[in-house]
Amino acid sequence: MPDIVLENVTKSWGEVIAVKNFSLKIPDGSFMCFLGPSGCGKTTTLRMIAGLEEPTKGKIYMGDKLVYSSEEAFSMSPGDRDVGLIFQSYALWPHMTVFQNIAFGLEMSKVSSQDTKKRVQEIAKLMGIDDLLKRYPSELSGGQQQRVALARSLAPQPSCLLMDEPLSNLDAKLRVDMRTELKRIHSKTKQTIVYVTHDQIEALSLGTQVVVMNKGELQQIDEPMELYKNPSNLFVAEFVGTPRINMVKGEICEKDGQFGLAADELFFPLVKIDGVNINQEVTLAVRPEDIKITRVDKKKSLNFKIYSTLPTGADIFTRVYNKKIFFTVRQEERVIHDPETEVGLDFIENSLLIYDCKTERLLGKTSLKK
Amino acid sequence: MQTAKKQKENKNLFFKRFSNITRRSFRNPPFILSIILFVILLYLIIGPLVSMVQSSLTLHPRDALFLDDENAGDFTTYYLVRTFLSNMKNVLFYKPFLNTLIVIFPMSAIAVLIGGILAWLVVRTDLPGRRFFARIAITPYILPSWTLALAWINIFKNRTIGGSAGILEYLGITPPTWMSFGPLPIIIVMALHYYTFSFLLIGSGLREIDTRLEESALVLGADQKITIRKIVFPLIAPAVLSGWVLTIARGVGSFSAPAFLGRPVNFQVLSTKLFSNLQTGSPGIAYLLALVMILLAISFIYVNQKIVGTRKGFVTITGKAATKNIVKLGKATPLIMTLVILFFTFVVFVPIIVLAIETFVKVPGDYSLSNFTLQYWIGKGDPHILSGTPGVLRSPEMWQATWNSLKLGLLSSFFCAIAGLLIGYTVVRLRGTFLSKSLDQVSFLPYLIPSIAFGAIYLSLFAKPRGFIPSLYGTFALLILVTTVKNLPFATRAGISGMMQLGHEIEEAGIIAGAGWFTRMRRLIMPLQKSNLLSGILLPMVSAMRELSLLIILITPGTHLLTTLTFKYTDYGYYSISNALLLINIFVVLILCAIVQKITKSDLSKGLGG
Repeated sequence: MPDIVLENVTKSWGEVIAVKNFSLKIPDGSFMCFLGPSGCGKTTTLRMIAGLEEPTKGKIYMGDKLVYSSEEAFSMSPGDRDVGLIFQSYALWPHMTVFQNIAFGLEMSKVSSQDTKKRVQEIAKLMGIDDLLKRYPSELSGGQQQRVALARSLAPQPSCLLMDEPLSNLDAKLRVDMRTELKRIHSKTKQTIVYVTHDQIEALSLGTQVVVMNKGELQQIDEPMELYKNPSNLFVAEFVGTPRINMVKGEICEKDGQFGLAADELFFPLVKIDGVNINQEVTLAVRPEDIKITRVDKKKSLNFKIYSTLPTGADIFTRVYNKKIFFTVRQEERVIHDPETEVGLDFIENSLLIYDCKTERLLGKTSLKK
Repeated sequence: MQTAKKQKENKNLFFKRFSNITRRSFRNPPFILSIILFVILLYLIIGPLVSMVQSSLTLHPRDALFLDDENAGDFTTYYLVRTFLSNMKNVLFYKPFLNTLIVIFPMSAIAVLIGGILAWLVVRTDLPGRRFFARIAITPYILPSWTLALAWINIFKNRTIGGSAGILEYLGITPPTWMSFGPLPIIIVMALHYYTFSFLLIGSGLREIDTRLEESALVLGADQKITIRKIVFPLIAPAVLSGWVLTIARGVGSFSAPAFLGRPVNFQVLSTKLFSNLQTGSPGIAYLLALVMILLAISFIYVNQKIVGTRKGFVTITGKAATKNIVKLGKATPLIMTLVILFFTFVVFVPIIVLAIETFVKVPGDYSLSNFTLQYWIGKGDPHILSGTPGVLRSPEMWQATWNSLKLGLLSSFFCAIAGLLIGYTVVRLRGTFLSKSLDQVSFLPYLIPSIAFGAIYLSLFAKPRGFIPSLYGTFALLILVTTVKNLPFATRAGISGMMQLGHEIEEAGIIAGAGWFTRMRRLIMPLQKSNLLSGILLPMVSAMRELSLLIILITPGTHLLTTLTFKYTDYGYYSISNALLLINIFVVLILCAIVQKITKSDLSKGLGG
């Protein structure tokens, strides 16, 4: 099974640019998630790989096989690209039974009817829908339709499986179940999967690699945990993670000989790092789980008040404030504080991300100077 | 050396690109298909229009005889001058033009009023038997439009303008001539036919209003009357306006009612004048009148789009099919019920009964029992009765015409459905492109062209051989062609909305699976559009079978239809025969309607009113 390579792919409709100069290598056997807000170009990119959309510029390879080239006006037909595609709406053919739906692709690739029957049975069994083969799509539940759609695209054994928000029409519980199954199927078959989603939890929990896109441009491509720990720019930092990452905008300065960040009357003393200079405008970002609530320490200036406490069952999220600066903290101790209680804050070592305000790029990680 | 190599490379790239692009466009045929369809539509819709303009500016051989210094085939302003400027202008143009306006304005107002009231009663009140009334309300549209005209003549005609007495005169009341013929009966008869447009448009408008909008008003303390006035009416206004404009646009081209009720007293409108000009061999003038009618219809529709276009947001609200706020009629129920029943009795049942009675009366105007006969149904030809015309059931002419009508209805609606599917498919697939918009608009154009004018331009286009197409005048193929094209707007609307509902992904899933275009059409698109296709057949079929104005100019003795035969015998004054033919026509249409609705489980009211 080949790698998929996109080379400087651009897609525009007149003035509107959907995907901008996008280059990417999707390694064989990976589970690649495209993550981004709606309209970021992730679905367009997926459709260009499938061959349903043609790039305005650029080249696409599957292995050493060229499948699209704007220069040569060449586009391999989707049926010859050896891909499977699962639509958000599933797009099951309502006038065909489950069996006919799954068998259609095999029929198109001229598989004998005996082999087709065998293959359909086999894949239906794998997906747990072997007792539904005679039904019509309208007689199935959402989850069952989802499985049929998966079976239909897996049946011809494509070298790459493309999925466009396949779980977004399911209810919350089913969605979690299906994620588990998708991950299992992937680890069993080692099938290359390209998966489009706007749900960051889905992307992080499923992908071996996550591609974050915004406004048609690649933001970051990394392994899920790396993406979460070291978001390379403000957009990624803000888009990935719930509750959202805490952000404080301010200016780097020196106060009483101490290097730090001045933001709205508050001063965060910081360990000095390279690339961050005095008078530079920066944004400090920190994940809620990297903050701890401590007792008030009158000697320190970083004292906050409780704004509200939101227990979610497994976690307790507490919002604290000092004047205009707010932080969301994932509390470790199961205590519910009363509003307006005075508390202190502590930050885990090397958890403070510093971003340049102008370029929005990550400058480095640092800690609070104790 | 270097540049030569580069040139060669460029040349190779060019050929590579060319062959790749060609291969791709055949693999994905909507583009090529749309170009083919567009060319066909240009030929069948724009071509005739151009030819008509040309024809009205070219000297006709007959007129060349009267003019010394011009030859046949020359460019001439003779017809323009004669129609609009000469001392004939009043007879040829201004009088019929004025008469047309005199008819269509009051007619459309009455039609909208009747349609609106009926729609409101059926959709928004607790009137008993609403569903039954809703079905019955569209029957006047299924019946040929001159059913009422003929019935009117039978009841109200008097002997002042010759011929026999009507039923009223027989009963001792002589109606004044202005009640028998002329503008008043034309207005009434047309309004009772065309109210169906407003009924359907306003009805579906009322059904689609989001009930929550009204509920909000009620919760805020408005009573029901205020809610209707301030919320419901403004929301329904675009539908009312559209209904009105469609009625006017149709009224301009309407031929049968003015022909039956106006011509005996020489009350001419544009459509009847056009017809008589064609018959007397002045096609130049006829085409000018046709152009005026087209402009008139288009300008009304344009005004409608200007006004409604900006407020469209209203109509497109997709309300949930929730329970509607039903107005309780309470004590008024018996009164309203009686009125509605009386209305339908006089509009649907009385005319048919009157027509039926007339076919059994031997000497017209005498309704005593001894005068009743079956002669006009099963009698052999008798030289003393209607110059030997046999009873309709014995007349081979009638059987031929019935067969022709059936053939026309079935074939033209079949072609319509296919064209609708293909045009709908390409318009939706190429959405947003210039070709898609042009296809969409050109295929709607026949709706704006009055039927009689449309017939006239087809006559002008196909009267002589054109390129590789032989002269089609006098052939049945021409009738099928013109009916198909005229009904295309209904078919393409149905095709487009069907494809919109289907969405892209159903087909894309097939593309991914490696199915070619024909396989996709045959295995995926067609089966899913089947019900849509079949219900799209019903409307063109019904229109084809009760069509007169479109075809009257194109008919030759060999291609008579039930409708045109009826017209012929009315022209002779053989009302008994024409009534019998009309009853057969109604019978055939109703049976066919019932069969198609049964098979396709479709409802005529769905596609109507466009």
